[in-house]
Amino acid sequence: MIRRPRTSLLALGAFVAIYLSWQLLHWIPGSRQSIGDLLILPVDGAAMTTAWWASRRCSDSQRLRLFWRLLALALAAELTGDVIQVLYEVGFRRSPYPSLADPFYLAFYPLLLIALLRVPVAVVSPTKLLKTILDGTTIVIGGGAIVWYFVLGPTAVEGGQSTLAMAVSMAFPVGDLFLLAGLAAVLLRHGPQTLASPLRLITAAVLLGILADVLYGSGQLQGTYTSGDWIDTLYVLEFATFALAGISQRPVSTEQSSGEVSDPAGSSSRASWLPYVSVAIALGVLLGVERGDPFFPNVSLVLIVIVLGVLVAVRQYIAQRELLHTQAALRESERVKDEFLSIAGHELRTPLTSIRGSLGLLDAGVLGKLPKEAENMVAIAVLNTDRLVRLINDILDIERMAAGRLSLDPVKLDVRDLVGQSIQVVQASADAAQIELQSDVEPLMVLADGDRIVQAVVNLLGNAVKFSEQGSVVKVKVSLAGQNALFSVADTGRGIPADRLESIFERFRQVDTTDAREKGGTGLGLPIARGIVEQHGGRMWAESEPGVGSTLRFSLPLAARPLAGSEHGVVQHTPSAPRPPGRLEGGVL
Amino acid sequence: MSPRLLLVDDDQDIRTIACMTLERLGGWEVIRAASGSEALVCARESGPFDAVLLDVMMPGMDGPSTLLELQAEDLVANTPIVFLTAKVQVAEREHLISIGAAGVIAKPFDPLTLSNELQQIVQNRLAQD
Repeated sequence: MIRRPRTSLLALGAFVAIYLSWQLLHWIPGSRQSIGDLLILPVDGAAMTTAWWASRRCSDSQRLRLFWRLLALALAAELTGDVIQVLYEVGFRRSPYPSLADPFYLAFYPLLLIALLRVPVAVVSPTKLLKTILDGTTIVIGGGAIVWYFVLGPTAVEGGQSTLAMAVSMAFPVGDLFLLAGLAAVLLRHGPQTLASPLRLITAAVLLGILADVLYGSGQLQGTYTSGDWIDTLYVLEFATFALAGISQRPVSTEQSSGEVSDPAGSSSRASWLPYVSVAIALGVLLGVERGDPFFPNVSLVLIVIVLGVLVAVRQYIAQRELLHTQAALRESERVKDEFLSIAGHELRTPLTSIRGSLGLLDAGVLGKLPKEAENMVAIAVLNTDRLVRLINDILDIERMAAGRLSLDPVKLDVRDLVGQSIQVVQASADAAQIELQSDVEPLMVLADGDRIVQAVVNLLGNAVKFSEQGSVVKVKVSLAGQNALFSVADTGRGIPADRLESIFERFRQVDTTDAREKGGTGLGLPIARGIVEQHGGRMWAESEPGVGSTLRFSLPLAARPLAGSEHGVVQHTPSAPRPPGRLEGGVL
Repeated sequence: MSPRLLLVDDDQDIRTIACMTLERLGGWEVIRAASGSEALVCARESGPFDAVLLDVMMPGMDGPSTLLELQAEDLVANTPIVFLTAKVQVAEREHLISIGAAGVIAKPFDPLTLSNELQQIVQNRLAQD
């Protein structure tokens, strides 16, 4: 037996190629009908066998195994029908209709339908189920209109057929309709991941089969169909596709990964385009119909269009309501998160206030001089408490930004004041690291929330100081660039690799992960700075030359023209006498 | 005579620390209240004060409600009220100022500068009046 997928695929492809070349070239001499019937048998057999193999690959999943076994059984029925047909054609040289083959052909439909309905699908909410039913109904009515127009209607008015022959002729398209409904039921819900690609192929196979049945039915009616007709090509392709589906089933190892179906958000949109395609096809066909057709009066045409329209409208309404519901739930969860953050912030700050307060008093010697070692310990505790407070503040800020709830209080401000205040905040830690801060600021007015912009500049400066060598210089510049004030903070540190220039603005991202511990940063400074600048309508980016240094720049829209008559001054902030590191606030540990 | 301050906070530890820093470093005479209602009693019995330091988030009557009650009973007519809050959003600050606060001090406060911050706010308010 051929069990390896690649070999099976090659064999299948080779056979389909042989069949197609025969259809086109008739290179096998002899009765066209018999050869056509004979050539269908291998592909039937292949479809049945691969379905059986697939069932064995799913040995650990009860439901998937059952699905494949039922499919194999359905294909076996089809094969039996074809074998009987061959016996008629080749053995008895006649092709009666209906014949003993037809019960087997017909058995294919319910078996395949049962198989499709055994596909495990997600348990869904009533709304989703209703949507699925509506979609399915739309598809079946659309498909039904086509089947009725081409096959059922003409069959019903066709005279001279026995009742049995008529019943059998009508059973095929009706079976197709049920299959269509079964497919809709499976496709419109969320099936197991492991069955996704086989299911796509099975869908293609069933659609090919329906097309073949419609052409076959109308060919039978007009007496133009004979075995070996080109319509048979569609059947060959149908069963080859079934065989492909069987081959594409991957081995399933546990029940967990296959039988359990999750229903992730957004799954409802899966295949939800199907009803629309169905409506479009049905309308296209129906609108092409000549008027006054005896078995297909205009009234029913209009009726079908109306019913389809209503179904689609109702579906749309339900989907809309579902969307609103989801949005409301989302807003509620946002609100709860906001409230949680606010409370968490308060609850964290209250004990920290006591800790920071007690330590601060001890550290300052307000309660008397501490022994040298105790002083060191208290200094460490103070520094780390401050770091914890900064982290909490940063996290709250970043969450507020993510929720778009960072409130700004923009007023007209001179950038020189903003830079001056920022330098004041960072001066102590720069002094401790023996880093010189230089500023070169043009007199420009911006419309900004002073506290927040100072926070952003402080974060940039803090970052620059952290990554600079002892004795180096960090330069702050503000200059006019079009309608913006362009701020830049340049250091002479180790620089940022080109591929990290963006990721330094992501939360908790530092170029080197050990930096978080060594440099004592929260990993949130730059993302917060960028968030603040962006909320002001500006932009922030980084430029760097590894080994030479980095420059972080941001733009802020100007409030008005530059101040007239102001001096463009360069201010030097020379380091004052270094203080012991333990005394610093917001310093480097 | 040292200036008198009413300190209202539901957290006993924070009361202790604030009291210590304000008394030792700022020279205030601090009267403590553990809740809004206690603050009202203190204000009625031992007011008026030179300043009130009021926590925002307190169980029962919160800071802003306490302020409104104090104003309603006309207990703090010329007294600067300063809020202590863990919420430092601009909107929150503006709201507190709009209901009559002289200023807002963020928690966690630095015990070494708390007294100075408070002094600054009180002087600004008195200068305005």
